[in-house]
Amino acid sequence: MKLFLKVALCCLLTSQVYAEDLSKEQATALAKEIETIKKIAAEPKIIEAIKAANAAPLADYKDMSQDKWKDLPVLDPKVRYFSKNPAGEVLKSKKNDKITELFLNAADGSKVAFISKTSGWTHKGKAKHDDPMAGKTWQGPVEMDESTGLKSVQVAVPVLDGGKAIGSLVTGFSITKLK
Amino acid sequence: MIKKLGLQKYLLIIISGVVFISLISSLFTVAYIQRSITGLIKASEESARTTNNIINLSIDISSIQSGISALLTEKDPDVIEASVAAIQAKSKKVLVDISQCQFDCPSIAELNINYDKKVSELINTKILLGKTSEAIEYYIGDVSPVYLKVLADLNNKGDIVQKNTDLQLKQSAEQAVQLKYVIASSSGLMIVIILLGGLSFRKSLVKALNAISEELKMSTSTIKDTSNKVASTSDFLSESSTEQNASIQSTSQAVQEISSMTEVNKNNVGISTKNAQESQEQIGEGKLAISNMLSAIGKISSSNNQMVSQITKNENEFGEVIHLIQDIDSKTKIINDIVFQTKLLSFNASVEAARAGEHGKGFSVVAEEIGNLAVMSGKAATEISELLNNSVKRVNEIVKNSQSAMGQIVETGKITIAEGTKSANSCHQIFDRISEESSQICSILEEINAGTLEQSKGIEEVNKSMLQLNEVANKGEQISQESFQMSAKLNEQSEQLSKIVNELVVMIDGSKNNLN
Repeated sequence: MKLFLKVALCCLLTSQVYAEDLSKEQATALAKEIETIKKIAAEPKIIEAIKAANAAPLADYKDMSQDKWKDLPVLDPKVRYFSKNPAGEVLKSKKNDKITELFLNAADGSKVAFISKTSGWTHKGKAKHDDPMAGKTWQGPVEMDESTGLKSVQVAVPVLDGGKAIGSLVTGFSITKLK
Repeated sequence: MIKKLGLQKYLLIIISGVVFISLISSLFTVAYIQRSITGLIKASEESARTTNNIINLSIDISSIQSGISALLTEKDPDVIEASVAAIQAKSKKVLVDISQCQFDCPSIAELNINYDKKVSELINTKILLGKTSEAIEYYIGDVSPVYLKVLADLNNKGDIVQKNTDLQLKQSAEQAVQLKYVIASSSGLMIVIILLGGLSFRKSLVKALNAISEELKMSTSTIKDTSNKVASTSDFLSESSTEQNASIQSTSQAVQEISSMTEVNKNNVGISTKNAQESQEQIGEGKLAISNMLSAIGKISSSNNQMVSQITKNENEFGEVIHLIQDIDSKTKIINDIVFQTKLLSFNASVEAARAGEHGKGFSVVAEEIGNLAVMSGKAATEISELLNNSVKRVNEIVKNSQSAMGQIVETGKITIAEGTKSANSCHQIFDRISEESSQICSILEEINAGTLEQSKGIEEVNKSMLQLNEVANKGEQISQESFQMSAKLNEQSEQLSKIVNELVVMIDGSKNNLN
């Protein structure tokens, strides 16, 4: 019985990539949301936070690695800092039922702020960070969120300072809410 | 027996007997019920406490379980922090619930320790590290089975409590059946006693009631007659009150009219008083004018006298003029003598001139001329003398005429002044009388005014009294109507009493055929 449950859960919750596309209505709604995200990325507090992180990385996070990040509990002060700093407060204020995740990366891909703990410490080398750093907007495939079981799509926009990309803002949207 | 003891004593004895037996049986029953209920309450309280414990534990553990369930997919760190704190608080409460447990708790305590351990592991090693899949797997595979075991154990404890309660209820039901029999037998005994007493009581009571019903019948008839009389009297009283009311109202209206008339009179008297006062002032002015006129007439009279004396004086002066004229006349005669002598002289001169001849011719002419002048002077003196005589005559005539005319005028003036004075005096007297009468009128008007005021006050008092009288009349009418209604009610009640008596008779005799 226990084994059966484990198998069923694994089948149900393991992250899967779906090749399906967004409907026309969802695509239109997403395009609208991307514009909103761009506006958030242009907010002074967001730009200031990235500029500060780029200028002087935080001392407590100098030795941070992906593994160390994964071992940190959600309520650890080092994790809670990113949702409590001024940029994190801005992101929390923008949260709504469409947004499943929202995080801000510095130029090196390390975290500057988020509304909930991200799976990785840095996203450097991944398209969701590298594309915005090249000044482009990135849109990921429709995926199943393993924690919620809901299909979502990620979008990343550059954070610009004087026309130059200094960081990235990544947002996850629940596609069932995109209307 | 009733006659011997009296109805009250007889009833008291029967009721006392019944009460005594009831009391004994009730005491016995109550003691029995009390014993049963005390046991039942104890059992119920224990059952309730245990059930309460079980429910509280179930609720608290279930809320931990549901809190964890919500945490599994929660990403918001604020919510996670709050939920973890709530779960920890609930876990502490569960421990308190178990420590205050009223039933066999060790098994639950052991299960809870295991459950608590698993919950802590789930939160700290899975949920807080964001290992959602592992957390769900652990939640379903490890935490939930322990939770279900705890619930099943609590359910078993609940069943045991239910069974104990049922047993207590069953015992109570058996005791209730026994009690039923006891109560039934004591009630039966009571019924027999009441029946025997009642039969004896009935016999005596029927007799007494028959007599009473007869008396009641008579009384009812009397009450009916009386109430009818009261009704007719009330009716008459009501009519009279209505008439009286109408009369009072019309009288009140009349009084109000008089009151308004008095008010008008008061105003008129005020105006008349004012007018009379003004008239008196004018009379005063008239009197003053007459006094002025009298003094003027006096002055005229004195002027008249002065005029008479002046005329007399004038007459004397005329006399002097006449004397003067007469003196002039005598002087004229002297002139005539001088003229004669002059003529004579001129003649002598002419004679002497003629004697002188040629030498006297010039002298004769002068003498002739002197003679002519003397003739002319004589003529003039004669004419003057004639004129003077005529003047004296004319002056005498004028004085005479003037004297008679002035005498007449003075006489007439005197008469007129006397008449004027008389008229003015009589006017003065009349004005005095008018002034006096006017004063009297003023004082009368003041008295009328005072009287009118008093009258007005009196009318007001009368008006008030009329209103009071009206109220009294209304009240009288109301009372008579109430009296009428009461008499109607009395009549109704007497009829009802009559019915009751009939029913009593029927009840006593058991048949309506016995009714008269």
